[in-house]
Amino acid sequence: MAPSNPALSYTGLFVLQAVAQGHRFGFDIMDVTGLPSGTIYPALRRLDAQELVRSDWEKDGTARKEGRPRRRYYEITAIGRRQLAEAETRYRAVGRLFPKRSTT
Amino acid sequence: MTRGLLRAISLLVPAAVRPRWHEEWLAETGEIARVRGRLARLRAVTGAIPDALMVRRLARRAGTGTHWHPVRGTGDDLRYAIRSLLASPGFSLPVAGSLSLGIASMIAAFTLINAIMFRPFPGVIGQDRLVRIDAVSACGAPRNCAAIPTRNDDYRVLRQAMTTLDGLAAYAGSPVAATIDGRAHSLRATAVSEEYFQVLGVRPLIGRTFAAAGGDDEGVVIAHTLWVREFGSDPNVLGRFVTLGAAGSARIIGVAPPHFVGASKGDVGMMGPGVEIWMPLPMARRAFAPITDRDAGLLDDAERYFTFIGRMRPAVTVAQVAAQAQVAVRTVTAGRPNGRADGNAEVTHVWFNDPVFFAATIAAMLAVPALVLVIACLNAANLLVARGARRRREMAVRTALGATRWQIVRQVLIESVLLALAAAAVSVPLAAWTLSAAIAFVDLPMPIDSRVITFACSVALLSAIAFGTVPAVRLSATRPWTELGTSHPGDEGRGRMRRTLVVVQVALSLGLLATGTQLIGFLPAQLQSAGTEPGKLVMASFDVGQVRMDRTRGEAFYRQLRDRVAALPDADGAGVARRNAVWMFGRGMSGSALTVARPEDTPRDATLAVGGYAGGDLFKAVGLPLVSGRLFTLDDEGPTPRVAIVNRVLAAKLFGDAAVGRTIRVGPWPRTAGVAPLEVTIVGIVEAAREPSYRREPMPAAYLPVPLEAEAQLTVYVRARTSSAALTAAIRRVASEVDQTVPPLQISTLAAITEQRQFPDRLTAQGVTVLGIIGLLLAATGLYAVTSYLVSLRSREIGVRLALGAAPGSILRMTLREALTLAVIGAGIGTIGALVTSKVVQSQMPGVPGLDPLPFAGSIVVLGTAMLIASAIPARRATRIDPIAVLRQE
Repeated sequence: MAPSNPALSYTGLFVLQAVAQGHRFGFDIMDVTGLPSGTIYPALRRLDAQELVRSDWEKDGTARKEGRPRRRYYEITAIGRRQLAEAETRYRAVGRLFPKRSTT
Repeated sequence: MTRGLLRAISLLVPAAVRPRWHEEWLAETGEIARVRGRLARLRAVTGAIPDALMVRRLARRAGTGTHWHPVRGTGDDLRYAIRSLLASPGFSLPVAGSLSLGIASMIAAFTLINAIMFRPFPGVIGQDRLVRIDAVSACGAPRNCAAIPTRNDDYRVLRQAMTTLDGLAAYAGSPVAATIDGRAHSLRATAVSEEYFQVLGVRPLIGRTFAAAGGDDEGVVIAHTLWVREFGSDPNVLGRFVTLGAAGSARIIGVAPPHFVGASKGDVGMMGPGVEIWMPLPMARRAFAPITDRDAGLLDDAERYFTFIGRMRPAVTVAQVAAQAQVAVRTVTAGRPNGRADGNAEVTHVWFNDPVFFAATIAAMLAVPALVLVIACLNAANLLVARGARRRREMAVRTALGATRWQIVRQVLIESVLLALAAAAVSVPLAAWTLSAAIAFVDLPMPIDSRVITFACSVALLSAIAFGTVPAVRLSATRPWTELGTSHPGDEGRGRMRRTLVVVQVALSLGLLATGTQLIGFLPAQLQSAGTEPGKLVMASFDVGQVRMDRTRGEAFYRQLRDRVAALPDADGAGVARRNAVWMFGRGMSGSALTVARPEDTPRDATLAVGGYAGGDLFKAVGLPLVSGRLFTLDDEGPTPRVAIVNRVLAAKLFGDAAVGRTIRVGPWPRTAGVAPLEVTIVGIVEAAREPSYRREPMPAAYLPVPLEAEAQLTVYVRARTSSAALTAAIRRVASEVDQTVPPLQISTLAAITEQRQFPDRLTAQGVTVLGIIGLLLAATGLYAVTSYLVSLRSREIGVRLALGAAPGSILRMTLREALTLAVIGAGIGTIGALVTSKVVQSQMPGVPGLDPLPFAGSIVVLGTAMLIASAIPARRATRIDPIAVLRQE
C-alpha cells in the first residue's frame, strides 16, 4: 500500500538522509545524527511503514561466525529518494521564507 | 540486565513481529556496548520503549487499513459470527438456551416492576405532565406528613390561583352503599370536581362526563367493570338509576372507557381494586360515610381529604407548580382550626409508585432473577471458554496473518452479543407466557412495552459483556508460535478457571433452591392459625356508616344480624367483632386498636392491642379456647363495658399469669375525640390466635362485651357446620332481610382471605424455587459441557493409559471422581451460602423457619444426581476412545 502523502518530520528527514548517505543500521545512524535511540528507531519504523526505507537481515552465517545476533540493515527506496528530494526543496523554501515572515 | 529489560519491553510489541524486533535490538545494543561501553548500551535500551510503542501502533494500522479504527470491519465480523454460530448448533443452542432462561426471569420481574412502577394509569393521557397536590400538615419530613382535610369548593380557589396549571380537579374516594335492582353493594366510589375527566384526558365510552360549567350535576359515571358486571353491558344503561346510600337516586350519565379505574395508587390493580363509580362533589356530601379526623373529631360533610390533580402548562416545572401551590394552599386554609392553617402543599408527579422512593424494592425484586442470570452467564462463559480452547488454532492463524488483539476480542464479543440477543428474542415471549399465569392475581395490564424491550436488550448486552469478555481476552492472548507448532494445547490453568466457574454455579443454584424450599416450607404452616378449620370459618363484613345509621340503629342492626345468623341451621356459633379483632391480615393496626394499661401505668406506658368489641359466640366461632376464667354472659352487656377478656399474650405481658380479676384501663387507639379510657375487670383469658403472616408472634388482644365507641364496620364470624358455600349464601340473604340497604363489604372464608393475603409470599416462594430449579438445570448443563470438554482434552492421556493396559472401569471412575469433586466443593460452598442466606431471610421475615435440613438434603441429592448423569455420559465416551487412533494423531 503506497502512502498517499506522508508528512516527513524533521527527525524523519534526518534519519532518511542518514540512510541515504549509507548509514545502514540504528547505531550507525545514532552516531552520525547524534539523536538518541528513542528517536532513531521509531523514526525508522515509520519510514519503513511508509516504504521510504526497506530493511534486510544480515546473512545468518556472518552473524553466527562472530557469535552475535543478526543485524538489521536499512536502505532507502526509490520512493524514499523522491521524498527526500521533495523534502529538501520544501525545507529550503521554508528557510528562505522564514526571515521575510518574521518581519511582518 | 539489558537482556531482561529488552525481553520485558518486547512484551509491548505485537507477538507476530516480537522475535525479529528482539533480535534487532540485541544486535544493536551488542554493537553499542562493544564500541561505547555498557553505560551507553543501557542508555540506548531506554529508546526501546518508544520504539516498541511505535511498532505496536504501526502494526495496528497495518491490521485494519491505513488508519486503525475500532469498528471498521465489524460487518465482516458479524457475517462471520453468524456463519460460525449457525455452523456449531451444539454450542450456540445450549448457550442461547441457558441465557434465555436467565434473561426471561429478569424480563418477567421487570415487566411486573414496569407495570406497578413505570406504566401510566390505564386510560390516562399524557400522565408525565400531570401533577398531584396534597394538602398536608407541616411536619418537616417529606412524604410523612399527615394529610389535612380541605373543603368541597377549595379547588375553585386553587384552580384560579394556579396559573402554572392548565386545568385542575379535586377528588376523594370512599366506599358507598349502592342499591342496584334491589341488591345492596358496597362500591368503590370517587367524588370528583367537574373537570376531573378532562384533566386526565379520559373520554367516556358511552354518554358524557360531568358538565364543566355547573356543579349541580345529579348524575354518576360508572366504570366499565361495573357496567359489564351489574348491567350486562347494556347499551341503554344511560338514564337508569342507582341508589347511593343516604344520597338517594342518581342517574347514570356515562360509562368510563375500559381499563380506566382512577388515577390514584389505591385505585388500581395490585394496590387495590379500581374505582367503580364517579359522582359530583355535592352528591358525595350525602353518599359518602362520615369520617372522623384525629384532631377535629367528626368532620363536616363538606370536608374530605381531597387530592388535587392538575395538568402542567408547557415548559412549567414541578418546582414552579410547588411554589405556587404552597401559596394557594395557605390561602385556602388560612384561619382554619386544628393546625390546618399552616399546612403545606406536597406536589408530586402522578406516578403509580414513585420509582425513586421504591428503588430498594425494585432492587430486591430483581435480585433473585439477577442471580439466575449470573448463573446463566457463568454457564455461557464456561461453554465459551471450552469452545475457545477448541478455537485457539483458528485464532493463532488469524494473529499470524496480522489480526490485532482487539480484532480477536471483538470477534468473540460479537458472537457473545449475537447469542445474548438471540436469547433475549426467545426470552421475551417466554417471560410473557410466565406472566400470563400471574395476571389473574395482579389484575393490572402488564404489557411488553418499549421500556421492557429496552430493558431486555440492555440486559442482553450487559450479560454478553459479562460472559464474553474473559473468554475473549483469554483467547486473544493466544501466541501463534506456541499454538501452531503443537497438535495438543496443554493448558491446565484454563481448566482450573472452568472448574471454578462450575463450583460457583453449583453453589449459587443450591443456595437459591434452599431458600426457595425454606420459603415454601413455611407457607402451609401459616394456615393453622386457630381452632376452627379456615375453610369453615365464614367472615361477613358490613358497614352501616355508608347508609349513615346512627350508633343505636347500627348496634341494633348488628345484634339482629348476629342473632339471626346464629339461628341458621348451618351455623355452629356466631359472633360479632371488628374485622381485625382476631387476625390483622397484615393490614396493620391503624384505625382500630386499643390501648391497654394497668391502673398504675401512665398513658405513655399503655400497650397496643387488637380486639375491641366481641359480641355473641366469637370465641366459639373462631375456635379460640378459654384458658382460665369465663366467657361473656348476657349480664355483661350494658351501656358501657365493665369487664374484659384478654388473650394469653396480653395477660402474660401485663400480669404474668394471674390476670383474672385484675383491673385494666382500655381506650380507643388512635384516640377518638369524646371517648375516654375506661376501667374494666378481666374475667377470662383466651388462647392467642396465630397471625397468618410472617409475624408469627401473636398480638396482644383485649375483648369487650359492648363497643367502646360507635362501630360502623363490623364483621360477623360464623363457623359452618357443613358447607361454607351454603352458609355464605344464607348470611347474604339474612343480611338483606335485616336491612336491605346495608351492603356487605366482603363475605369470605378465612381460608380464602388467607390465600389472598399470602399470594405475594407464595409467588415469591414459588418464584425463588422455580428459579432455583432453573439454576440447577443450568449448573447441570454447565457441568456436562465442562466434563465432556475436559475429557476430550485428555483423550490423548486416556489413550495412552488404555494402551498401557488401564481398565476402562478405572478410567470411568477417574472421570466421575473429578466431576464429583467439583460437585462436592460446590455443594459445600452452597451449603455455607444457604445457611447465611437463611439467616438473612429470617431476619427480614420473622417467623420463617430456619433452613430445613430435609428439603436441603433433597436439593443436594438432586444436584448430585444431575451432576452424575452429566458426567457419566462423557466419561463413558472417554472409555471408548480407540488408543491407536489417538496415538496416531501425534
